[in-house]
Amino acid sequence: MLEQLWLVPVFPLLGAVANLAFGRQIGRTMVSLIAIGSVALSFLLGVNAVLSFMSLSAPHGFQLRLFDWISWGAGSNAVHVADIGLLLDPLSSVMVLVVAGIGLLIHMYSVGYMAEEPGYARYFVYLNLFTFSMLVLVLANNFLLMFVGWELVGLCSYLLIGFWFTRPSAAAAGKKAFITNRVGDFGVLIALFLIWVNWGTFDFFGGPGGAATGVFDDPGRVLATQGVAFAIPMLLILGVTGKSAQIPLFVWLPDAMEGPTPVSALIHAATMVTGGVYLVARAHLLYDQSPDALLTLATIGALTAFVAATVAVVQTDIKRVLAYSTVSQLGFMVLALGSGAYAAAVFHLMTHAFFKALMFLGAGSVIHGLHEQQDLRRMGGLRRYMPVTTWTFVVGWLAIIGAPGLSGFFSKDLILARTFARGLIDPVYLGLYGLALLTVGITAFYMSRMVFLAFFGDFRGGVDDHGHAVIPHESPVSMLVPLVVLAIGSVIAGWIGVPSFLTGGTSPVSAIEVFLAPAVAATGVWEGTLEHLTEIVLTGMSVMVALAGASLAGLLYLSGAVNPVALAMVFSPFTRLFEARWYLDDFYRVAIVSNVARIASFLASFDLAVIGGSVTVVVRTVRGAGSVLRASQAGYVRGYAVTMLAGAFLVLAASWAFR
Amino acid sequence: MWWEVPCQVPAEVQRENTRVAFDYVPILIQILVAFAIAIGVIVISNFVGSKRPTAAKLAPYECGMTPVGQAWRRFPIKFFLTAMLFVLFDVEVIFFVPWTVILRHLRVGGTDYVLFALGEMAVFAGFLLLGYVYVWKKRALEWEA
Amino acid sequence: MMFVLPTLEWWTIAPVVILTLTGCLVLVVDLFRGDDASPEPLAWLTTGGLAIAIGTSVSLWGYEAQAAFSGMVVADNYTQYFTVLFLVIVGVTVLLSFDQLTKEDFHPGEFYSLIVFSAVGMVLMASAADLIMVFVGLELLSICLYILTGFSRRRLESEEASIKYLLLGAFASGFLLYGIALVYGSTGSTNLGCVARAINPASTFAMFGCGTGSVAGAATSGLLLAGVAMLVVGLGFKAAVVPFHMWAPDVYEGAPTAITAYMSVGAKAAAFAAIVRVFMIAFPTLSHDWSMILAILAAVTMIVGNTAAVSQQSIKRMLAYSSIAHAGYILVAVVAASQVGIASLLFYTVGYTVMNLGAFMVVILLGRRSEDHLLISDYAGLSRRHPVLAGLMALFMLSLAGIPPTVGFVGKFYIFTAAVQADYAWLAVIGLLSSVISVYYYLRVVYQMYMVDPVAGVEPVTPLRWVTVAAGVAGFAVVALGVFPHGVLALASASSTFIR
Repeated sequence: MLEQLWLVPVFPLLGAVANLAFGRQIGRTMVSLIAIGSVALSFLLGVNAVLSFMSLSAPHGFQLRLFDWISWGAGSNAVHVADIGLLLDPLSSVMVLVVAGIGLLIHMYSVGYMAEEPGYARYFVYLNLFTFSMLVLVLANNFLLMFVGWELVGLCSYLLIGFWFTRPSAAAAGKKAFITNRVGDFGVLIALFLIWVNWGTFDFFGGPGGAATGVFDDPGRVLATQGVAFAIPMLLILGVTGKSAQIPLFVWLPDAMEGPTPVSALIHAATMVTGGVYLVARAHLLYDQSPDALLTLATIGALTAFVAATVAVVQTDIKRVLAYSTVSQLGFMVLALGSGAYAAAVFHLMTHAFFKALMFLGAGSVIHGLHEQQDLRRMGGLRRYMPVTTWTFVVGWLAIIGAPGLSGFFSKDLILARTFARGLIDPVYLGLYGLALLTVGITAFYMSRMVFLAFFGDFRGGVDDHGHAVIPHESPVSMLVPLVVLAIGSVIAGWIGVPSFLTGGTSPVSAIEVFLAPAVAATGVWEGTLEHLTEIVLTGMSVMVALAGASLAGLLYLSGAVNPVALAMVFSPFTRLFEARWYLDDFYRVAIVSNVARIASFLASFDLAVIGGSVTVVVRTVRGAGSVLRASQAGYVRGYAVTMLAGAFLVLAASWAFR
Repeated sequence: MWWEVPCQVPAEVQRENTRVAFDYVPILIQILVAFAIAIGVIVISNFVGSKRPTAAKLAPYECGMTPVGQAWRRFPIKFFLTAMLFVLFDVEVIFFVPWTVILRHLRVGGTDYVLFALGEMAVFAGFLLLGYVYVWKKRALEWEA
Repeated sequence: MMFVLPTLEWWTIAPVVILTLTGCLVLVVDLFRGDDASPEPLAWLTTGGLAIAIGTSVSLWGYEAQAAFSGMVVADNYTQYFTVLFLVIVGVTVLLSFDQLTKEDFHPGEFYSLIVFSAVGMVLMASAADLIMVFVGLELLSICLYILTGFSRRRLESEEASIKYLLLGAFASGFLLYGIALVYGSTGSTNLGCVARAINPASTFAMFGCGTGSVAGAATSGLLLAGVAMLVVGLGFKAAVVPFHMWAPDVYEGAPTAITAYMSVGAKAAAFAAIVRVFMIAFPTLSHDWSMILAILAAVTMIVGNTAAVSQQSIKRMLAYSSIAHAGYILVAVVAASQVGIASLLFYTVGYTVMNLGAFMVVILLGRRSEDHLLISDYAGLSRRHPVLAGLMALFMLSLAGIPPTVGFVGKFYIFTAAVQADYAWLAVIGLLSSVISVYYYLRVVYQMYMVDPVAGVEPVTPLRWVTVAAGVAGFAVVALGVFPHGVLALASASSTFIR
């Protein structure tokens, strides 16, 4: 079945094409059937392919070269640049299952959520196109095709954020996401150039039909030029900060919540934003060459996790809390990558995809049930009106704060343990570990705050903005089924990451790490392992911290023992800092946007005067020449014949001259 | 004179040249006969034919066109159509002549290719016939259309 | 008298035979049907014949090159590549002309048989292994085109164009024939392989069926150079290379639009098919002599074509000059004189066919009421009246300008790469600069369509379904070949193996 791997991305593409061509004629039921059916087929084929792959013993994974894409020359001059080819290895297996699986659930959910929207077909075209692009991104067997997927998901993200393009804020958010990501893409592009220059190929791995040795077959090639060995990972990090919303480029992600909520769940929580994590995991052999790049990555991750968590504390919009929470969790993944624990990062990516998609869809269900109300201050007590939404959301909440036994518990603790282990070698990481531990507490606090405000206490949103009475109602079954499925996933997805010593084994690593090892095992000196006792102590610490955060939230928002407003007053310098989002947006506005505008206006005047002027001169010359030529075309055959004759004489003369 | 400059021509070549020149004698005879017939017909008809002149008959060309006057004017297309068809079919029919000449010699290595050559000519004649049918059906041969 | 029967490998000219019979059949069927009968059966008959010929040609792909009929024609992949291209072009022309044919009292029998016979001429040009065959093919093509150009009998421009084309074409044929005679005088043969051997004893083009037809190394240089120069004139005329291009704008503008489309891609491709055969086979060792001449001609062609297009008001004239400029680009590939160059030429020919035919399809769809709506300013606001057509037209314009990710970009990239590899970097630079000029006039159409308000009183036309579909297919091909050029490029490489 591995030979049919190419169908996995092709089905969503066909769905997008079909709905694009006929979507407006065939009615909503057919549109939904095509969209969901194509992703379902893709998912089933993906599962099948992964199962057949697991029964195969292929160290680097299975490569399927479909056809030659870019090449030129012939014979000895032939240059092969890239082909359209797919690579299925443990890493892409996990990604395919996450993308297609969660994508399928969110397609189903969207049927109910978008039922009333105009542009229904357009929505599903974009969503299918996104699924296709993301599958290309994770399945590509070379950097160039991966970059095509990378850009396409960015495009889909832009289109979906601005789905309600008549709303100025949505259009602006789409633009912001796109432009911010361009900065990151620029880094990736330069890195690709450097890869081409140094390796002469884009292929990840060599093989018949492609390059003899791929980039990862010989990752040490650039060690001779230390600058490049550092530059390529750093440039890729720029891409990661854009796509995976890390400091300094994370500002676009909260604004991206202008898009429909299922989109936020799929693209801006579960899949696309993890593209950067995937990129580093895929290219980890290059990172292993450069400890400095890894440290940079870890620092960015830890700082992002902390900063985003603090901002999440003061948000009042349910989707924005989740958005900052996503940024923060992505920070954890990046921290894991920076600690060389690539498997841990991918593991957290997977569990996070479950519980964050769950919570976004839950939030969507809440918004749906409250007639587009997103403000936490006008919710409360929803558990009485929306029991299924509430209890599935609670599962997600417990998972993210790391309640023992749920998925987030295992993945987060794996990251913390690996960072700590790394700290035993490089003390800087101990500091990062401390920051991450603190963030765990903050995470527990803001997540509990959101849950308590929304689902517990009394309902506070009697009337909406237009003065109509609001009676919350539970969402339709088509939206609830994905919630339940995701809730189950949020509980059990972590069980493949249970350290084997807890289940009676002796190995320090878990099943998921063993599975991923061929693709992402660190090759440097990094494989720090811990005593079992140390691990248990670390786990205990993080659970305690999380419990503390959740308890504080309970005191503030559940029991009312402490007045949150008063507490905020006490810590007003901090709350103000958090509310202003650490002044990052303002910094960009003052330092970059206005300066860029100033430079741009200077360049514009330069362009107008000098370049435009010279262009005008050229245009006038060409136009003048064109008129002269036009005049020579008088329409008389005799004139034409004379021209030909003169030409013939010139050719004759030239043939003598060049003899 | 310059053409009398003596040159050394090998005897063999001289003989060859003579033979070539001899080969052209029939053509010379044919040319003479052609001229004789053309001139003879005109001369004889001048003597033998009866003369009842009209204005039209006295005009230089007896084909419906006034020979004097503007060349840039409309004229009946029929004459040119007929002339063109004549030229076309005439030229094509000339192809029969070399074919008949070599037909007898079509024998390669003991195999007779006469039937083959007949077939080839049938194809050629078929195309010619097709053109003729076309001309006919398009009524190009009818004077009073 | 000794008679040597030539080896008659009929299969080598199977497509030609099929096409000839199709043309005759169309003519006969036309004779025996009523005056008012629909021309549709004739169109189907023509298309059917073309389809069979295409099928035959495809089935001949991949065989070893075979010369036949005493070294008159050769059947190799190159022949089949061009045959299929030509016949597809003819098929599209049949589709494009149908509307005008029914509305303007064309004689369908003659129209279709002429177009099929012209296809025979093109196929013969691509398969010619002998200068005489090049001439026969070219004349067959040209004479049919002279008549087809004048088919819009009610329009004076059409007749004028036809006469102009005839007069200048005859003039050019004279040059070609004279060139062939001089080459024969110099080398003692007109077979391409024999000519090559007479010039350079080392050249081996046995596949061109030169038995003992010429004496090795016997060529005399003076006559030969003059002959080659004459061949350049004669073939350059057909391809509309400056300064033998003057006929093109007038003829393109006057001819029925479908025939203009046909000439701009079909006749041009056929001319280049013959140019490549003649110059790469017969005169490869002379390349120092002729490649510089061709390089200069290519440069002048690109510059003049692109510059003159800038000031045109009529879209057909603009496309005429644009096709002159593209002849320049293709000539650059000939100058490169390498297998890579010829492969890129073959690829570019396909790409140019797709995008130029696509542009003409849109022109035809919009100019349905006879020959109106042919000014560039008539395209104002088209994006609002016909968003799909405007989008397609914009795509074709961008592709003609050579902007990625279209086939126009990839094609130019390959051609200029080949030129640089052949040490003609200056030619590539001129090509790039002149194609910058071309962006101006191509984008002018896009500008009119998207940024200018529509002229009041222009009503939307009802697009013809099949032409619209064809334009859509062309648009798809423009992008598909631009992103995945490798399939066609592999075919092109396999077709250019006869060049060492």
